[in-house]
Amino acid sequence: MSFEFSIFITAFAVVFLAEIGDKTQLVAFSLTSTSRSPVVIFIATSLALSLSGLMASLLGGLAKQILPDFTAYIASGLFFVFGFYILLSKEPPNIREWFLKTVSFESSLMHHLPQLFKKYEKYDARIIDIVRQESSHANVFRTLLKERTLFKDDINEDEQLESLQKGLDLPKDLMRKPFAEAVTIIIEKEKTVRDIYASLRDHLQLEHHNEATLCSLLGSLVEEENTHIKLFEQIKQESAP
Amino acid sequence: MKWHKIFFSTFILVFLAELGDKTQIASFSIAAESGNVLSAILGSAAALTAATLMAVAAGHLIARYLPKKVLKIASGVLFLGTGIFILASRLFF
Repeated sequence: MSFEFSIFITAFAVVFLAEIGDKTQLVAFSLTSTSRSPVVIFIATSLALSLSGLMASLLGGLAKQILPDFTAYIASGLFFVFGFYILLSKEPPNIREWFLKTVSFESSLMHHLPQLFKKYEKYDARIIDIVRQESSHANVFRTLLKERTLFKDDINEDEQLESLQKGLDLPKDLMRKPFAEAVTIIIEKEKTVRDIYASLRDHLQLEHHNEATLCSLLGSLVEEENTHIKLFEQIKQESAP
Repeated sequence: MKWHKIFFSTFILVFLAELGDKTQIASFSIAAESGNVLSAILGSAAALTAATLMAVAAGHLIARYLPKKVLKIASGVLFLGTGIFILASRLFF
């Protein structure tokens, strides 16, 4: 069988015109507008359509006759599932929201640390230093967030960050906990915030090549949190009976 | 979502929605009438790819200008509407 241009053009024109504004085009359109992977959606939709065109051309009208009756039900069921999925799905936090989370964590730490350590009479120069550093972190980020309109993009597909999403808030009864337990909680939270800084740095390095300054800032924050963690562990050991 | 999840869910959704649809019937008629299956396949595949490219490009473009919340609600409603449409045309026509 040879390729005939006139038939090709006929098939192209008929199918193209029939597809304009058709449900499949709307599907591709709305999937792309809510997702960040236009290329994947393009390839998947084209393949599905080409395969259905191939089947139709080969089998012709048989397609409709040999198809079981329930494909329409499955298709409409899938559309319902997708519709509800899109409507009910939660938006992932963007970079700005991540920074806000860490700012509020650093602020609450700033507030709680002196109280806690004074209560157990362990408020020494090391703690004063940590509090000073945490407050400067919070200030740096506050300034950054005021200046920048950037960072509105989502961080999808970052499992590391997603697993850190919970667990930054300090427990409400922190002040009533025994000293060793409170310090353990603080160490855990400091580790979480360190991992968030590290993930944000990695993300910026991958997706925003012009953010070298911010990347190195985040890198130094990771180092700083590491020294805080070491210090807290030291303090915990000192206070152990 | 991971790329393979997006890929397979899009593929299955579009493939099922297209089965027995007017485009398939058009491809069939052209193939049957002309007897040239190859040209019909290539023509319909090219047309479908072009239509998809347009839709994806438009979706990607509009995502820059409209707030995410509006797009999310519109897409969700569009999907539910399409589901109802497919179900209704199977049940009543």
